[in-house]
Amino acid sequence: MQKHNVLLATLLMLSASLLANGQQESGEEGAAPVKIKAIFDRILTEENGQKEWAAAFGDLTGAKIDIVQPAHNQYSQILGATFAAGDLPDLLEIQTNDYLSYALSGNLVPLEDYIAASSEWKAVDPALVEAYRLKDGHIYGVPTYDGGGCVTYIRKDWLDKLGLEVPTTWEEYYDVLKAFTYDDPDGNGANDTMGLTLPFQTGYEFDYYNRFIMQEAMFGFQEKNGKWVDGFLQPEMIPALERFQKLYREKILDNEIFTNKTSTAREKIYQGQAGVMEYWSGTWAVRFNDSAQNAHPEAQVIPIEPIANAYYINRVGPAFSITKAAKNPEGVFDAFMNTMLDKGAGQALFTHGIEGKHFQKSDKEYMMLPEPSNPDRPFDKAYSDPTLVMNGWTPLVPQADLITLSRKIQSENALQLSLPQGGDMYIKRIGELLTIKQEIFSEVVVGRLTPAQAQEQYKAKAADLDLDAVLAELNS
Amino acid sequence: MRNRSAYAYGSAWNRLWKFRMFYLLMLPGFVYLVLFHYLPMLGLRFSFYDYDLRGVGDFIGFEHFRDALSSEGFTRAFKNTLILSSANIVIQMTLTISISLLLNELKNKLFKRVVQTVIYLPHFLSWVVVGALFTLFLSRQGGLVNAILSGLGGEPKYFLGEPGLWRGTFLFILSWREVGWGTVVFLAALSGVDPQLYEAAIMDGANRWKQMIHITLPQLVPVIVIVLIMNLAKIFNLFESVFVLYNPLVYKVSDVIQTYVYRSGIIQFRFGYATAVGLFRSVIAFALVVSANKISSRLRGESVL
Repeated sequence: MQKHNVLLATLLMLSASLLANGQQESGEEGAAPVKIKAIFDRILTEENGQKEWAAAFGDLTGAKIDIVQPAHNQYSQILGATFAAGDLPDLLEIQTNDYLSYALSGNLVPLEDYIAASSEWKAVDPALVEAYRLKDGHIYGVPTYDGGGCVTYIRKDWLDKLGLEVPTTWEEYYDVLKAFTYDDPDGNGANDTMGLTLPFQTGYEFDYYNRFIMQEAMFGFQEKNGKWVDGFLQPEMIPALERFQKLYREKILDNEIFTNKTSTAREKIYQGQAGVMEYWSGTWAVRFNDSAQNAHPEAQVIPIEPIANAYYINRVGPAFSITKAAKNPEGVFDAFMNTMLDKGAGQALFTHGIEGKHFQKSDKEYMMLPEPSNPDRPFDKAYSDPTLVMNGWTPLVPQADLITLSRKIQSENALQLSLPQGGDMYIKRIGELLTIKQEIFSEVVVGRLTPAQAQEQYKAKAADLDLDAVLAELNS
Repeated sequence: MRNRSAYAYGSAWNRLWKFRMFYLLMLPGFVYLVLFHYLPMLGLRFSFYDYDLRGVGDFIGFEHFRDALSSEGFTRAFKNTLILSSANIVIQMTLTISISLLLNELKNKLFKRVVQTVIYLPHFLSWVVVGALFTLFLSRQGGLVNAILSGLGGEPKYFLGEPGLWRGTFLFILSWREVGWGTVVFLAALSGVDPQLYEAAIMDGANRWKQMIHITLPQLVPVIVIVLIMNLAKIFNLFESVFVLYNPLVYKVSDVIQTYVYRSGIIQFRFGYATAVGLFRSVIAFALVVSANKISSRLRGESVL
């Protein structure tokens, strides 16, 4: 009997090793990737179980994934340096603003054929994928999630205390901000509140925020009547800048916006120093409300619909791309991009993580578990945002009402942005154009320039930086 | 029998063998220098190439340099770097020497050590922490400095947002962090001054002030020259300090070469262009160091390099 067992075990081991060898070879020849070297930004950190996640991914797909995760606030810079050194990963996440540079670099693999052949990607709105198609006809990245966007959050309890309604027009919005600044909405008798806070956004993400003030105006390049134009030079920028100036002058807008980091601005909402801020829809809705309630139990922070003439935006989200370093790009696409949208175990792994480690089923329903790095807070995702699902899949873990509400308000009132696609001149000049735009914008807000002077000054300086050639490239 | 001088001036191999332990001790430092300071210089060739995310492209000669010199952003950054660095050198050298001299006069050793430790501490704070601290201290929304200003009847100031105030504020913060640490070199030099000189001066009736002017300061001159030359070599190295304290409202007075290089190279992926600007910066810094050394050589009859 014992001999039989030994023989059986030997046979099993032999067949297992033959199978393993077979997998390895087929991986190298094109059927399935054996190893994926990846650089990711927003995946679980190591402390929160990244290695276990990678192991679970391997178990599910048969692909071994090695993940490098640079610090979030330096992700773009470190990725750029990695490429500059020629150390290409097989798979990477690319931030929206950098997508064009990488796509034009010649280092990425076109994905349109894999997308067309994938049954998983058929469930995704084609517009989401088409946003990544370049003028050369190729798609070099797929969305990591539905891009999403920001909504305006407001202290509902302050509105109630002051007898005000949720604003629906610019005039009402202005009155609310003014009352939040000067009518002691927290009732502490001190002049220590402000209407609106915001961080100074240094890139074209500026347009994700400030929509109630900007309204029709756009800071970056925008498509208008089928043609790309510089938003800063459009007529609607004048009233937008006037609104900024007015709010700043009257100290209704945080007078330290230029030195505010995103975290500083958020903290002002949490601590009850400011009553309004525009920020990301989704899980942030709960964080704003909960954090404000930690400091002031009576606080109630809610997302609101845009005022008349304003709209939110839906951005083009970060992309997943495969580089030419990948020996088996089709296999990488199948293992990673298809698994993340399989509406089953794969999508659950990407969205919620590992059952028992990142989420678990309680009596009735699934719930996320506390993060090891911050046990006071439950995980909100493993990698894919459950509030920004692209393929109609219903996440296992139900979302809080505030999250659902913020997403609903944002998506129902959002204009879809598209990526400006320039060439060499665009890439060469975009940074300096942005820098002078930021400077001139700042000078207008603090009242050193009138909006008309600002446009004149920008026009002159941008002409020296070949703005016409940049626009010609965008419109070619 | 081989005499000592013949051995001392023997073949290179003989000398190498004789002092092998010293060379062995030097080896880690040498390897470090080669690996991290000399080998990277090979990358300077990228200044002359079209180099971005697409990789190293064609040789384009001096095109990046021409681009930089015709760019308003670069010329402004160059000017700001010169202004901020020069002011910083003058202020820091003056403060460092003054504080070192004052500390040298302290007779209570415990008090002296406490003061030294306290003024050294800021040097060990990272610039990110220093930036966050001063942004809070200088805020108009509950910041300590503006609270004091308001208490004295003044108007709150946006220290980090007003071009007229930014440079002064920046130089103050830079000095606050570095002056204490800078005294280390001067205090070491002061401890090496021959006490007999002071004894002789006292015999001649010199008071403390005259001792300082006629003995201490002249004894410090070689160290002052060395520190000055070392500072000149670093004149264009302003980065973290500016990066954590500047914002678009004050770019015109705060943007320096290193922040410009960072934006061009790391943010915009114009690696070739950023390398060219960096090389230009290094060449100017090198010229400054050589000039300062020559001036020192003419004035003092000896060079320090």
